[in-house]
Amino acid sequence: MEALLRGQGTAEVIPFSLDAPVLYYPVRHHSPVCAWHLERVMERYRPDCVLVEGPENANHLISVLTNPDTKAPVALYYAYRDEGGLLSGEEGEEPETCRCYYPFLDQSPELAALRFAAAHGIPSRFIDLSYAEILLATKASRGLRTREEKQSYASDRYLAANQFQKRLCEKAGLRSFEEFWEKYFETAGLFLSDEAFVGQMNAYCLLSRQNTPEVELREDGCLAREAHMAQRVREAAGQYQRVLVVAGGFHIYGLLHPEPSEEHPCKLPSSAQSVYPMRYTMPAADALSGYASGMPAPGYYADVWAALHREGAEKAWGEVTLDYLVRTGRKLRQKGDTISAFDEICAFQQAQGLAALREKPAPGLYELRDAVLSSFVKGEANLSTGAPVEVLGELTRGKAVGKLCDGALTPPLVRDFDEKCRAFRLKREAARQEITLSLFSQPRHREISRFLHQTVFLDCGFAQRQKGPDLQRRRDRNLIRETWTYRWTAAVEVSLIEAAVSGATMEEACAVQLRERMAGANSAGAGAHLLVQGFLMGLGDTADALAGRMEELLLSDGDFTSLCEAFASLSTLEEWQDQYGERGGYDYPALLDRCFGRVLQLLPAMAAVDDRGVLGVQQACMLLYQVTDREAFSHRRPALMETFACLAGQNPIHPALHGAVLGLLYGGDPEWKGRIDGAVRSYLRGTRGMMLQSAAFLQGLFYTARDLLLVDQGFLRQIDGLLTELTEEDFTALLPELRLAFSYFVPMETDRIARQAAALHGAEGRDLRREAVDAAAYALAEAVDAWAARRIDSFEEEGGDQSW
Amino acid sequence: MEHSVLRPQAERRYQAELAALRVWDQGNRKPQNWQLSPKAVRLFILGSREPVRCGGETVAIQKKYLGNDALVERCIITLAGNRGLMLVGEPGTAKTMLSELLSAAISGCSTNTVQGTAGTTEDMIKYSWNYALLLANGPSRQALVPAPLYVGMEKGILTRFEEITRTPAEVQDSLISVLSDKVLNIPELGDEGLLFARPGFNVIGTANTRDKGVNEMSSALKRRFNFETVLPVGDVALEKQIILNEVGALAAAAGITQPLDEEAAELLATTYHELREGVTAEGQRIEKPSAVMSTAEAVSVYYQTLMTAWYYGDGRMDEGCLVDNLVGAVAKESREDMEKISGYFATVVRDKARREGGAWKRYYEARGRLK
Repeated sequence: MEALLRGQGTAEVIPFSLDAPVLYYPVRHHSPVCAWHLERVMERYRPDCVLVEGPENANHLISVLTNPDTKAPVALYYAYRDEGGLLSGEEGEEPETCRCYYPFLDQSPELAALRFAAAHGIPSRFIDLSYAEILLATKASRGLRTREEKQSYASDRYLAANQFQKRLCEKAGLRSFEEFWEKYFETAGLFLSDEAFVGQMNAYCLLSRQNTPEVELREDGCLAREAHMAQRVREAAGQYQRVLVVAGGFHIYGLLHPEPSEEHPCKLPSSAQSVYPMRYTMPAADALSGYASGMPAPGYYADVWAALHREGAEKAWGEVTLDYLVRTGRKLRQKGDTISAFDEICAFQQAQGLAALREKPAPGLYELRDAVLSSFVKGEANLSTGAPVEVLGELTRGKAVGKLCDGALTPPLVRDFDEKCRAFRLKREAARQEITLSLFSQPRHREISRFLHQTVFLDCGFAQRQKGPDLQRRRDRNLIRETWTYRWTAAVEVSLIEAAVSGATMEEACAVQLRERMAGANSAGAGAHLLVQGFLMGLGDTADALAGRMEELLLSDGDFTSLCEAFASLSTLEEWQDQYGERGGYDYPALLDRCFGRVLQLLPAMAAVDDRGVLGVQQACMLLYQVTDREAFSHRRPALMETFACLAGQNPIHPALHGAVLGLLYGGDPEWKGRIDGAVRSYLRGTRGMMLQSAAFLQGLFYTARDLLLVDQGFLRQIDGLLTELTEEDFTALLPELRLAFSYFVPMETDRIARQAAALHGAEGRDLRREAVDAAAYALAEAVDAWAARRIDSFEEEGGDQSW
Repeated sequence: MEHSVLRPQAERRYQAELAALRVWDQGNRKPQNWQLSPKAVRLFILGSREPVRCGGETVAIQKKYLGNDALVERCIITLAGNRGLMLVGEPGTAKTMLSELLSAAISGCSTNTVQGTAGTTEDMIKYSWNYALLLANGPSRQALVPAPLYVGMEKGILTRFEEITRTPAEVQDSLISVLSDKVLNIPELGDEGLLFARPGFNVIGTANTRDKGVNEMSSALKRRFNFETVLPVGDVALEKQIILNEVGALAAAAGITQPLDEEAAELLATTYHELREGVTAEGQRIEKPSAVMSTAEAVSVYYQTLMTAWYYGDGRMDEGCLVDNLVGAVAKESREDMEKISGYFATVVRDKARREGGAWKRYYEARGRLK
């Protein structure tokens, strides 16, 4: 590095000579121009061995990548499961899983190199550390170990993300590194000789490297990787005469001046890491190109790459720009925008003019974008006028989906999925299929249901449950069949490959993910929800391991709603496991018992619940009561009653909760009848404020103990007496809530109550019966309506004059 | 002796730079009738790091438009093409300045301008008549009084149309056929009544997005323009620099020799920027006033404060006076805006005063002047 500072030229620091026994070719991932010159260099150099930067545990997959039936975009998917705790340094914790993608597009120089080698029968291989070794050489949360949703091996942030780069863009008056790159490399670089291009590439990469602190390189594992790659290059040089090394431009200096390589302290178990080829999509490749990691707009550059081979360097960019303008215009017209051919002409002129002004040999992506912004966007550029820019963005992103050749290695999880589909006769077709399962009568159907639940849990977009008993929402218990729709798409396979890191079979992957999610759950409700999912997936052995975590959650969660949710879920599991034929495998009663205790503990504090929350507490009370009806929990009944009594004695208490609790107490012990009578009196005859709450009280009471009114004539009489004492005005105010209170009765019961109430006033039920609407009044209203409609029609016919 | 003018037009102000660029420009490709090549126009507006050699001396080309370089490039190329250029954006985002600079550089003349108002009529855009001559000699070229569109077409220079959306829609529409056919029909002149535009003619319009509701442009007219949206300056440091540059130029023209106070410029740039964006540098959400919080407004507030200090004060920019002028600039449209400014002082400025002290502290202490 100092050499460069001493004024040595790039060519002296990094020589590039076609006569050398080892030729280092610098690339930027997915850069068409790098691949373009590389193709020429390979023809001229005629290597007898090609080495490519890439984790070497994928060497066996090179034949898949270069197979003529494999169509880009494809990716290598690397996964590592830290069973030995080598990354975290702590054993016993849930092992960390890491994954990353190494996408290959047609314009990727690495793929061009591999394809060339395959076509000429030259050996080729990857030379970087294996994925797991890279992780081990990297400090936590640096490099490939940063916590991101999708990690790309082909990242080139070293080239783009430093101060030197920022200053360079400012000086050149360019908006971003990408624009800088396109101007000086992609377009201008095409017209340089191979040597001049490589020289320019090396000069730029050296400057980038000079501006990256060494400590960063060490922490990112960059130095360890380079040392390993240099070692592999030395080995190949001993064996072959002409070795071509294709590596990221940033690393070339490190390959020539490696650090002494360190011995890795421990041997990795080979089962811990895996690598699979997978189909890839342009949008996914673009998503990976987030902050300075790979070239953006992969679809656009793939078209440039194709045009370079079709039209030659002179014409390619202009052709592609025109093509994109026309396609954008067409797509906008399909959407209903008025983009004319003249707009397209103006846009093309704009793009060409800008390229000339910016001294580029041809318009590129940035001129294309500017042209669309200038000529297609009408009015102020904002959300409502942004369609052209958006459409262009979509087009340049591309939507191509790759294809793998037959016989490409598939991960065991995908194989397991395929086998299960075959065994269960689930069709792997693109059309949507439907299947109905008799859950409780056919064990095989139960198996299929489990499998489908597993695919849902892994979120692979395969199946959707349409109908059937719903344990998660505790609904439709009366149904005995489950109806599912499913459809096999390429995306299913991709998400299965992504899940492959978790296990080799569907059960195993689900179990691992279930444990992970359980470890991450932060409330009892969420935990119980996961237990239900585990139950549906038939993961018996996992559930036991989860029970411990569930207990922790129950103890640490202080949220009443969440605990009630957990209680309801556990109660459902306990209740339904017989029906699902699962009794014995699970110890839900113990969990339910613990949860019961927690809910009971918090219940008295819920007296002051507000109007919105009261229904939840009512439901919880009801559920607690119902659970103690079961034989296994009957011993809990006295404690529950005590708590209810304590709750009922609180003042203030929400009237609806008060009613519900009293109703339950009455259900447990009819002795409470007297207290209820007293409470009803105190509400209806109390101060006006109390009286206005009486309807809510009755609503709560009837929610839990509606039989009170049916069996006890005295109670009816009492309520009737109290209601008759109300003034007309107060009664009207109470009416809406009273109606709600009586809605818990079925129509027959309402009839009966009405009859009895009528009898109290010396009338018969029949007397109360009347038409919903008086026939005469209805006829009159209809007539008025028809008259109004006629008037409106004639008003419109007259052109809306003033005769109205 | 030459009388000084309050604000000389761009081609006068930057005479030396334009002359130097014409020399520099030898050999560059130029659209017909353009005074400078597109490259030189860009250099004129965006400035160059190295001074340009002109004869024996060197002339520094200063950066006149700070912000989006790509936007300026698009504008230049649009003007070389066969569509008009429409600059839209919030008030005070330097649309007019950009339009003036483009005209000065491309046509050497920025004064061929229609100043759009609600009272603008078609003859103020195209042409009208000298009625004495008209009555005496009948319609003839001598009796015709050309308006900016006529002049632009006849000479092959740019016509500027300021505040186009303030003019009634039917008046705006008189541009439609001229922009597509590049020919103006003057029926009164009979067979000689066709004016064909010379190369170099084009139209630069400006429109405030706040005025959209006044007179929305017809889509036929929109189709004949390329639109460029000029956004407010997105960077406080840049905004501060613009304030200092602009006030520096104003002060020099007025003969005020007092050095500019950078701290005050920073206070204003920050205040305007944060109130405009509705979020502070620290990520706090604040209420946006409905008044226009443009950089141009900030410049005028600064300049007023500077003048107060120059003529009445001891030459030091007083934060109290700055607050007074801020009130004057903001309290135009609604009473509520003042409450929002007070709220801004009571929270954001207070915190900054505590943290940074100095000018921010004095600024905060002057909050009593917010009425």
